Order: sequence, then C-alpha cells, then structure tokens
Amino acid sequence: MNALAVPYPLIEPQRALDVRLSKRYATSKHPGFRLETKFTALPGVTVVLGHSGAGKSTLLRCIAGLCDPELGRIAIGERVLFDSNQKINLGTAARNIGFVFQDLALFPHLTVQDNVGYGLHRLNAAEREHRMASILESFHIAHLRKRLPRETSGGEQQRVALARSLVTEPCILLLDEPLSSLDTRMKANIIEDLRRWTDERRIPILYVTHDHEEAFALGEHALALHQGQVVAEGPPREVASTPGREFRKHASGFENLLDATIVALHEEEETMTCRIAEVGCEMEIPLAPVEPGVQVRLGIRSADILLAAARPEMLGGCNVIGGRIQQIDPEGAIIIVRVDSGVDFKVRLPRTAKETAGIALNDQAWLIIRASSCSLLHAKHADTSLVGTANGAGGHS
Amino acid sequence: MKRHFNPTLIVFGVMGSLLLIDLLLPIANLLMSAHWSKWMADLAHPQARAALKVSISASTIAMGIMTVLGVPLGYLLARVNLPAKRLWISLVFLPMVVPDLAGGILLLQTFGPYGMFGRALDATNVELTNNLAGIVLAQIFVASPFVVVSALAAFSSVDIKLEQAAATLGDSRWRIFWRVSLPLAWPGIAAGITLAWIRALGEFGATLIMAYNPHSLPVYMWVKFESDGLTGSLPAAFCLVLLAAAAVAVSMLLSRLTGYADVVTRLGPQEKIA
Repeated sequence: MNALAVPYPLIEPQRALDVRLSKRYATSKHPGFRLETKFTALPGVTVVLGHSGAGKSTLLRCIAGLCDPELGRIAIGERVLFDSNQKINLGTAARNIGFVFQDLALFPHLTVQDNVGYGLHRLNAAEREHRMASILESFHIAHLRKRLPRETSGGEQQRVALARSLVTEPCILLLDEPLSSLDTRMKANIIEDLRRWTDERRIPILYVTHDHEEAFALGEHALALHQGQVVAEGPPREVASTPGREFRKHASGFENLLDATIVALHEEEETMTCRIAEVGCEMEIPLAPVEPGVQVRLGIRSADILLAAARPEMLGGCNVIGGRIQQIDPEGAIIIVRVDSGVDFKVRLPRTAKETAGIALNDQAWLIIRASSCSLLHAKHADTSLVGTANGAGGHS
Repeated sequence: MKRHFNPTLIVFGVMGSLLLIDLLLPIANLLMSAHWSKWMADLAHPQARAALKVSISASTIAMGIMTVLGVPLGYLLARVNLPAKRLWISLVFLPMVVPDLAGGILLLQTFGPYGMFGRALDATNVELTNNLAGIVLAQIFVASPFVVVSALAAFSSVDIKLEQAAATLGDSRWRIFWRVSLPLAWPGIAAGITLAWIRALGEFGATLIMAYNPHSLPVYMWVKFESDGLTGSLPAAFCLVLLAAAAVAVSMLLSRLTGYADVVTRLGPQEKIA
C-alpha cells in the first residue's frame, strides 16, 4: 500500500456503485467474448485498465444503460438501476449518471454555455445560471461561453465535456478514455481540476484507460479487465504489474512510484525539495505549481536511473540515494536491478554495466536520479483526504 | 499546386459535358427563343393565373403533409431496428421509379369514386378526385420519397453518441429529437423538402388521372399544348423551369449556408488521391 492512500473510512456505502453483470460482446477481432464482472466502486476514482477489446467500454455502456446486460444487477447504494431477476431496467435518462465519451460527443450546434447547460433545462433560469457559472469557473472555461465547440482547442473541449456531465450532479461519473488524445501536461491539469471538483462531491468515478501513466496518476484503486474478466484489483501499480498477464509487458509508464511531501520551493533553480518518508531522504524535483506541505506522487522511469557502486561525489543537479542491491535480472541486452532503499527501486541498465560498475548482489549501491527525470504524477492538497481503497467484492481469477 | 491534366479526369470531363449538353441545350434554347412580353401577357391570363394558384397552394399543402409525416418516418428508418428494414426503405423509393401515370391509375383505383376507399368516402360526401385534395394526394404519392430519403440520410449522419450523451444528461427520446437530432439533421431535411416541393409543383402524370380539374400548372400546360401547340405551352414551361431552378438553388444553399452544415452534409472536397 502506498503511504498516500489514507484508507478512507468505510463510510458512504450508500454512494458506492455495485456492479455484477454478464454480457456477451463482440470485438472487431473476436466475434464473442463474455463480460463477467463483479466489483464495488466506492466514492473516488477507480481506474479500469485493459487493452482494446477487454470489455471496458461495454462495461461503461451497461452501467449507463446504453446497452443491456443479459444477467446481473447494477446499483448505486440502494438505488437499483438494473436487475435481471427483478426485471428492473431504468432508462439512461433516469439513471442520473455522468458519461464522458472517448470522442466527447459535444453538441456541435450549441455553444459551450448551451452544451454545459444542456442537462439543466428543468431548473429555473437563476439556479441554472448559478450552477453553470460555478462549474465553468471550476474548469477554467468561463471565457469560452459563447463559442461553438469547434472553435475551442482539444483540451478546452475535454473540459467542456467534463463540465457538462458533472453540472447535473450525477451519482456516478463514467469516463471512457476521455484524455487519451492530450499531452501529459494538459492531462495533469485537467485531472487536477476534475479531482478538486469531485473531492467535494464524493461520487464513484470509473475511469477507463489503457494508459498506465494515467492510471498511476489518478490511481487510488484499479481494476484490470482482460477479455471480459476482472483479472486484478487493487492499487494501480500492483494491478498494472499483475504477473502472468499481458499487462506487464505493456507497462511502459513509470516503474518507480514514490509518495512524497513538498518541503520547499526554489523558484530560481526551478526545482523544489520533497521528502520521501519511506526512504527517509529528500529529493530535488522540477518546480510545479504546488505549495509546501502538499503530498505528491512521483514517477521515475527505470531507464532514467543510474547506479554507482561507490558514493558519487561532486555531482550537480542530481539526487543520490543509497540502497542495497536485492536482485539482478538479465533481460536480453539489459539487466533489471532491484535496489532496496526503504522502497524498491527498479533500475534498467545495459548488461555491461554489471562489470563496469562492479555491481553484485547484496552490495551497497547508490542511485543517481536527475531532478528532471522525476515526473510529478499528481498532487494531493493537504486539506482534502484521499480516497481509500475500495474493498472490491472479489472478482480475482 | 494543382494538377488538372490527369487523362482520366479529362475523359470523365468530356463524358460529363456530353450529358450536360443534353440538359442545358433545351434550357438555353428556351431562353433564346423567348418572347418575353408575349409570355408575360400569356401568364397573366386568368386561366394561367388560376392554374398557377392551384399548383402553388396544392404543392404547399402537400409539402406540409409530407414534412409532418415523412420526417418521423425517416427518423424511424434511420434509428430503429425495424424488422425488414430494407423492404421498407425500398418501398419508400418505389414512387420515384414508378411511372407517374401508373401511380395516378393506382391512386384513382383506390381513392376514386368507385375505389375501395373512395366508395366509403363517397357515402360521407367526401371527394378526393377532381379537386384540390386529389391534386395533393397525387403530389404526395410522387414527391414524398424526397422528404423521407433525405430525412433518413440526414438523421443517419447525426452521430448516435450525441443522442446518447443527451440521454445521459436526462433527456427523453422526444426531447433529444427536438434538441439534438432535428437541429443537426435539419439542413439536409430542408434541402429534401425543397426538392419535394418542386417535384410536387411540377407533378403531371398522376395529377392528370386524379384531378384533371381544376387545372394545375402542368395540366394547364398540356391542355395549351394540345390546343395551341408549342407556342401556347412555352410560357407555362418557362415558368416551371424557372421555379425548379430557384428550388434547386435554395436546396443547395440550405445545405451550405446553415452554420453547422458541415457537420451534417459534407459537400467539400476531398482528400487528394493521386
């Protein structure tokens, strides 16, 4: 478990999304898979990981009522949306869910303002305007009100789509790879805004993605789907490295994840110091718009770390962390070295490094990490508590 | 850089031009042999004006009925998995290929005074032949495919995800139709309605059988042709061609000028191929 995830007390089960369903679906390559899932998503972000064809979108569509499972039950707290035994099947409009489509599906004939206000037509004008102004402000799109979607940028469109689905105060939010077309920086900003909005409202969010970086950045809880089955469940980095599954070899993201607290900002050097509790040391990382005291999660690629057998001296702009070599795995022309320095670090080195650096099992070693190699995956403000891990109802295979 | 001299395109251009000559030559000839002052006088004749009035009012009524009934049918065909959907769609196309005269004969057999509906209606003193109602019926029979097919195409081109998004925002299908589907499909539908209107206005064959009287403009034109020959029928022909050209222009504009037309009907080019 990561230190960041203050286990959220098991309150608000009345808001949890409970899904148990069975549905046949087809992909372009396979004519028939069966989606068989059973899980509970508590308020907070649950990442649904899986490759295309894994059944992620089908799952979301079933929850939204855009397609019907053959068997099962879908409920939000006590409110049953679908139950094949009791013959309950609420229409999409009556489910009160937020859904952000992969291609966003903004109404091309309506302005940003009318898109966002679309679901509010039952409210009176004053209330509608109040809610709209508040969400446009939160997602930094108030200045776009009068524009048509096609007159806005990709990132702005994502914000409009999020605002449109959240302004109706849905019981759950379903996101179908909404950020896949954006660059990392824009992604992080939008995720931050999304968090701020949802932290106040405490609803379950299902976030479908095949991108491990996104999963780690959002990650509180994750489900891995493979050919319609939940194959792993837990914190994202564990799910993403589920052994024996296809996920590992696709894990192109950050193999090393650290939870840290910001200690000081150095505006001139464009860096900041953060403290890593698990390691008991401080690190320099690139400056980001956060305050001291904020908890952050860092991601470091294993290939971005160097290893030295003796403590390096006279190094500029680098972090040096001591540890002990636990494992050396050859993988073709490279070796993966596991170093324990309070947390496990994975380091990817050329095979020759074993001789040139004199690396041996159980030896003392020093990790050299450039400040610029540390990516800030997400920040957590001190006053808002993190969502705990949903103790999902099984589904492991 | 544009390359115009691709041999394939030149051959296609020559073939297309030959076809256009067949279309354009008669129109050019009509315009060149025009006796403007005489034509205007002819068209000002009370009989001609009455015929024009009959045609305009009948085709406008027909347009209204076709819109109200045809647009929902187009939506159904585009959005609902009806059983035997292809069969329904081919049925809708049928009047486009059935000869007008044959259509009129079918209509008369059904709605005429001795037809199966006609007899029942006759008992209640409702007549559907030789009056405006008969003309409207004939026009609807012939022109409705334009409305239904354009609505079908226009609704199909609306991304179904937009309708699903509207549903997740709490809208019923009825509201989604009015707030999303129809506004987005409208330019295409309006273009179809315009074409249907001009098709109705010019309808001759079925109208001749269903309602010889009162004369609609095409029937009047034929009557004049029978009595006075070419010169007598030219003014009416000229008038109809003019109206048709205007309708086609409006139809083209509708699918271009509307602000978001590019979402619905893409006329633009066109990736470069080679």
